[in-house]
Amino acid sequence: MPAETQNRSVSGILVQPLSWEERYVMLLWLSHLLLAPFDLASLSSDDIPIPHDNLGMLTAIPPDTPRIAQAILSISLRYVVTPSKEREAATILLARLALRSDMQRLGLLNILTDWAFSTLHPSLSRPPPPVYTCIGVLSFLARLVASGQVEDLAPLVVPTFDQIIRIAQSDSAAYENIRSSASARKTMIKVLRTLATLALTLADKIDGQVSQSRVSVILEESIDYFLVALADKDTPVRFAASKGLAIVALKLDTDMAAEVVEAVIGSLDENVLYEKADGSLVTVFEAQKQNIKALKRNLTTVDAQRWHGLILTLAHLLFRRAPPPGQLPEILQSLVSGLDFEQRSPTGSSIGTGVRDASCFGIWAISRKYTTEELQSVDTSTITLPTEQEDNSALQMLAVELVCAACVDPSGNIRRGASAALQELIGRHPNTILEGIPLVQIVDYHAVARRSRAMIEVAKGAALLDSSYWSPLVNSLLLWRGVGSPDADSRRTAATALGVLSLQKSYTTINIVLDRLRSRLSNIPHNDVEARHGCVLAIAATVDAFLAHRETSDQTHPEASTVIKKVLHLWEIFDSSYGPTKNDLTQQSARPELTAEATSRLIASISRMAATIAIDATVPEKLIEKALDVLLLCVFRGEDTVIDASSEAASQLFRIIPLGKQVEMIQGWFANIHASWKSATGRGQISALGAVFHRLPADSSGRQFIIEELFRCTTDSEFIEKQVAAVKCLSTGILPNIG
Amino acid sequence: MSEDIAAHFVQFLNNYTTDRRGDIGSFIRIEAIQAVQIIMDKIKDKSIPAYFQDLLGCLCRLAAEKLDKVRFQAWTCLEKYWENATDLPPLQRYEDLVTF
Repeated sequence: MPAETQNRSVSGILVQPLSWEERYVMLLWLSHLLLAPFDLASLSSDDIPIPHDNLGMLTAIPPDTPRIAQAILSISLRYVVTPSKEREAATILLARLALRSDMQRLGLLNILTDWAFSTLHPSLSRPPPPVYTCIGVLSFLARLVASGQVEDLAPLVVPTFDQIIRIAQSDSAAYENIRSSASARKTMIKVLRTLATLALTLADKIDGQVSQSRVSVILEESIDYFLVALADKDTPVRFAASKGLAIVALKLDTDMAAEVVEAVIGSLDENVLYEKADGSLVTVFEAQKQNIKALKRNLTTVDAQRWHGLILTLAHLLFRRAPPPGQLPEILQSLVSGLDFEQRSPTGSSIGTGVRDASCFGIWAISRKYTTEELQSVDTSTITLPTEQEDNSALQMLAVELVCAACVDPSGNIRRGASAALQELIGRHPNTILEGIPLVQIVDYHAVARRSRAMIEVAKGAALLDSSYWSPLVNSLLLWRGVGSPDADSRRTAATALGVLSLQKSYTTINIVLDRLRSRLSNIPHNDVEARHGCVLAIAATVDAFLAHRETSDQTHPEASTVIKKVLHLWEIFDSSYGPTKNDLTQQSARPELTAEATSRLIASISRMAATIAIDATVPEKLIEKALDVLLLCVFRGEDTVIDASSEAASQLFRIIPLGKQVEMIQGWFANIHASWKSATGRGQISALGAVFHRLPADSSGRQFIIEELFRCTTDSEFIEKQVAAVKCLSTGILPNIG
Repeated sequence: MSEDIAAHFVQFLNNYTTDRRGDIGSFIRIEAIQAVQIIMDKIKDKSIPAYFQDLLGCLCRLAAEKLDKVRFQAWTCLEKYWENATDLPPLQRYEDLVTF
């Protein structure tokens, strides 16, 4: 097979050098042809060329080896050590060649395994082999032990195991070089997995080529290696380790398998802390002295990659039905904690997605492989849930967690994975989930793909089906997946979603949502600007939803007045420790644009309510003053979202302040605009003037002053953005309202 | 709505300020076209004031402008006026436009 240079083939045709794809296919083809049941000696002839001069690296090949076999050996040895895809086909070719019975009779299997071990073993006389050579040799060994018959491989089990374990554990520089490659680590895990299962099979045989004590050593060391590799920093290694652990555990007898499951579950409990209501953290020992179920599990200090590997292992074990039903409560606790798991790397990217994905897989596996009776009899009283559901059967509990994940998770793959797991759960266990079939139709794989649709419409649809879905959905929107999201648009969507959900049972649910939001706001630390942004936006959205609902519903409902009182109390935010301070709205490091946007929306909503609803109690003047001061700071900001929000807030607030105050504000804005002449600031004040224009009496001089001021802002020497803002105000705020 | 205010808007429709970023006056022209739309809604079915001719003239000019977004806004606005105008030739192939 000509590799690099163009030359003439046997038939005299000029052949182009092959590309790697062609070499790959040729090697595969050869490996298929090697399945021929005839002895290679009968297929060989004496004039077959041996293309590469590399057979010297093997210990003496028997002289009666057919030339075709030598040619194949030469080719496969050439390509087994390349860093490209031909390596995979070459390992298949070499393994098939070695395992053929006629080649085994010649002793080729031992020759090749000797070559493999000596290549991997560092010697002082040669420089250490390049990493891809080692990867190639390891892949060959993996292919060999995976494809061979038990009888043929029996004598190789112990020497191969010793070699691999030496690479895995020794300190020499050459071995560390091999261990630095993720592909090499993954291949070693695969080899160890196959060797462990082989050892178990051999231990059952009477003639025991492997002694019982040797088998125990092999199992122990392999399982230890897998457990450590579950926390590896590279994902393919974790995938291989979890699958390996599951496959080996399956072949063990029941109590040993149970021990493996215990080790995995125990590892999942490391570094888990518990959070009390005031936010302080305690360890599991202290938590057990108190009522552990009332505390939230806090996962911020666990190792995300270790959890990924451990939950994947649980999922594989569940898929093979290895854990007995008695261990299910602890497994379920880990799976539901994993569904809500998030950590961020120092650079800000999310590293919890793998854990959540593995949890979806685990829940899918458990619904698939365990019967309804087994799952319904699981005791869920010890399980702490992130969404604070009421006590439920295991299946209903899993369904609710999956619905929440499908609606609010930030990652699209997780939403779709949770929807698929939910479908499996409901399909395999009919008549166990409340409104199961309609739920699956609403929380549909395609419907949850777009996040805003999932949060708003799918959540609303699911909550409407049964009241037991409503409260967990609201709770999950109050936490890190909803108003506490790291990005601003998700928080705005979550706020809208909470507004929509609050209308479910009219005033009753509005009351509950307002209470929960208020208590959440008072618990958020003051410097967590993002979460406060989301929470305040949500309060504003709920008030807006209430106002819209009120127009179409029974206003004499007794709970309606409770809501009105609660909204009046919202004004107290401006006089409390968790209200916005001057620093929040001006200091650059405190992200003032977020606080300004949220506070403006809140002021707009509660002012609109105070103006439209005739009530006996009015808002205390002191609080209106404070809100006014805050608004004036918001108007100073230059971001588009803040300008829109603050102008709307100014327009609504104007309705409840006396004329004198209105004039004072407008004159203040004139002064600001004059002070910022020919500089970039002042756009907020211009928009505010346009927004409050229609609140002034029709023939007042105030209106005339505003029109003149706005025209003044359109002169050529002013910044173009401010000119545009002024023209926009004139079009949308002034023109529709004059004769 | 006075002649004075309308004169200002005619100026906005004629704002072709440019700087190193390009034709920044286009933002103002676009906003002014929205204003013309609002004025048109207000004078619907009433007598057409004198200042309106000037605004309409600018609108026609802008409907043939080189910059896509300005041209589109101007034409949309003009078309709305044209549907109900008595002093302009009828729009041909209007059904095609409507179904499009």
